[in-house]
Amino acid sequence: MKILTKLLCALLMAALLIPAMGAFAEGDPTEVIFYFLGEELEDDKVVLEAINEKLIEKLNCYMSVEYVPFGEIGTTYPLLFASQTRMDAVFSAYFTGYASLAQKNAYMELTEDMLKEYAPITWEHTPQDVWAQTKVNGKIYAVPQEMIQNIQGTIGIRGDLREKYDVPPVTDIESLEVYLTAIKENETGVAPLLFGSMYTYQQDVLLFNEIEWARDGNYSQICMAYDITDPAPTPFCYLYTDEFKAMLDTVYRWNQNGWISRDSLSNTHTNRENMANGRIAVMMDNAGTINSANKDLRDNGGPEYLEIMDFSGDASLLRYAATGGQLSIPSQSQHPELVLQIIDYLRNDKEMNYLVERGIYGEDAQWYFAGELNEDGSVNENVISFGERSGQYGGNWICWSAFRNWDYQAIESIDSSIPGYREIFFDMDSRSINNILQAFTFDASNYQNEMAALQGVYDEFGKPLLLGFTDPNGGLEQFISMMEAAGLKTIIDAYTTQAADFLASNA
Amino acid sequence: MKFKLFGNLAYDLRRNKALMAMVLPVVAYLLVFAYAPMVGAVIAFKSYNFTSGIFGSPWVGFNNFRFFFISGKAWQVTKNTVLYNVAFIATQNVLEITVAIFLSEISHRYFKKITQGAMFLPNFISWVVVGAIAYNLFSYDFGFINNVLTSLNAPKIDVYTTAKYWPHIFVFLSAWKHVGYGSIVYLAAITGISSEIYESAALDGANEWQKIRYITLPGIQSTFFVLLILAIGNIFRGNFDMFYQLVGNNGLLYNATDVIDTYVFRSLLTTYEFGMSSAIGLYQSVLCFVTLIITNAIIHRVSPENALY
Repeated sequence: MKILTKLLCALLMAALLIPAMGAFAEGDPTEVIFYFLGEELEDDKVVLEAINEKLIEKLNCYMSVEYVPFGEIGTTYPLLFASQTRMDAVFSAYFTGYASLAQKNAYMELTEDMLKEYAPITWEHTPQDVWAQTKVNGKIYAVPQEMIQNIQGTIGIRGDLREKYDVPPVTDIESLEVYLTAIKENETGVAPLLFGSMYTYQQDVLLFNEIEWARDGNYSQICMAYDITDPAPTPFCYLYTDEFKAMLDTVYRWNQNGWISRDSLSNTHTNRENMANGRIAVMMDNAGTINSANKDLRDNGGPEYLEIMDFSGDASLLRYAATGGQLSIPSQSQHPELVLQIIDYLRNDKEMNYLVERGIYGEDAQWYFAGELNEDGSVNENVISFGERSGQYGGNWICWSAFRNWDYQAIESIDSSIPGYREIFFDMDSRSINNILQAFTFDASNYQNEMAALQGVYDEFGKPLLLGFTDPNGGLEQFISMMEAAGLKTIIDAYTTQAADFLASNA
Repeated sequence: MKFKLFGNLAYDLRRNKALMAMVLPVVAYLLVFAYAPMVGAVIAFKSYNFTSGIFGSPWVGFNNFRFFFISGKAWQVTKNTVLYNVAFIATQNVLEITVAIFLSEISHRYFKKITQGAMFLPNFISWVVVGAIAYNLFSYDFGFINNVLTSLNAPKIDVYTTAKYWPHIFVFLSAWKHVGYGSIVYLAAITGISSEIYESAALDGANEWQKIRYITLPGIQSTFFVLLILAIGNIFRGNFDMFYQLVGNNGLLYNATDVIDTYVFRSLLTTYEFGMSSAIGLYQSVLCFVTLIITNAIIHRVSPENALY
């Protein structure tokens, strides 16, 4: 019995010590854990293996990748921090609560010295006004993305249905309403419009794009906006404007006409999913997503196809925020220096950036050069064709994030895009401007009670108004009075004061 | 007295080693998962900061409770939480007892097994799946029910924008999911009643109804009271999974469907204020504790043998 006990003790000790000894063995590559947003793609492991081979060679480390699905931004993502999950780098964006989490020290501050030492190319290559956007209370908590991206709402309609019902081409809101009527009256089993998790794009199409306003993306519940063409804008709460009321009237009329599905408040699918599943005839989303939805329809093998249009005319558009896809280092990270080195390497080395963003050239039908030529006759390497296994986020193989580098940014070939998509993409880009308030982040740390109460009111009264389920005559007044009871005026005062201070100190 | 208490404890430990060993895992479980985390309740009075942690973060007094009351929703969501729980407790207990009695009366072995299995099955289906099934049934444009109604030229029903349907849906689905499992507890209590009592009653000429009325129901009375007290102990907690998966972020239904847990989840989704969510958790716990004490006191007065203590 004693021998057995001793043997068991020895085994237990060995079981405890052997992994520990292994972990500290000198010269072994270090594991660096990244948490990204999205889903693991079919060939993810193959691509990651290729990346890790190079990383081991250059930095003696390798990446382990975990994903947080888009649908779990509000649940799993905050739990990673609350549970002190072991991670060395994590995706961050204004829509994942970057500013709130930074104010609570969930992310490590990235000092200028750190960035210059461990990510020198990225530090130099990224303009200072882009770094400024990542600052929360004057400190940098993320490496921003470098990406030409237009996320303003555009419109995609089922072209096959337009032809089927002999509807004239859609060029403006009036002709769109003719199309919506035709779908409502003739097509059973397809809703003209169904808004779900992405329900804010109709505000872009019907209001913000044309009148050149931008909303505060960090805190949508406080409904603050500013004029993007004003070099020193004064932010305002758009709930009190006539333009907002006019937009609500339009949406309410659409809802009453049956053009907006009654399922919009309970639907949790994205516009792209609804389109791919044949449930809707019109989607309002960014141009890239509409182009991807068209690809889904093509892959389904049916006769369906999309037409794309943009109603913003020649209005200026706000360039997409650098905080829309970043990498932050959580405060519990064990290898912050390595994370910065990895970012610097993958972002700025052409071969590595191709791997990260596009996958493996020619292999397993992941991607190919499309063959479009530059003016000097050389192949334009940024115009590519994605193969059938390029995954649903073709062009961002591993992640939307700080790995993006606009020098190597890929765009789909004309052949594989919706007719007009490339023109809209470049036209919107030519009209994109920056505004100083993009770099302003409201410090809400002293107003968390109001922010939480406003979020509750916004969800309960705001969303039904925005989707036309509540009559704005009376409904808007009730919404505003509930918002004011929850502290809206206090927040507006604090916000405008902070913004004025920011403008004064950054003039 | 203190000395005697510990003296008795040591004596009991020595004398009932096997019993104490059996209860040890439960004690350890409660210590680790119920008592130790109570220390974390302190976060309800702090402004949580990731680098300072629970104990290093600054104190904010009762400030974390304020958002719940300035929103104007505190009374409504508290009322909804309690009323739904009362409805669930009432309907489910009645159904569970009824089902348990029927099952105990059924003599056909296979029919009994199949019935029991079919009723037990929903307990293993997650609310996520139930939410998806409900959406595919009730969806206005794509749901099964409305497709059938359309094919019959009948008007569609708009479940997802009409609040009045939802109390019935919740009570029905909650019962569908839990009655099978709950009836097992009552069935066990009925099985524990001596068969000799039923035989004596039969000899005295009692019919089936009389046996149920005068033997079975009194026999499961103590089980009923224990389950009732335990359920009331959670009366201020909403079943987050059920309410959130079935309703989601549908503002038109909140008046009828919002419970404390869903309201707090939505409000704090973007602020990451763990102090505030803990504050509301504490608010629920205190109310549950007070209710449980009062309920037990009432039962103690009415039927002392069925009270917890």
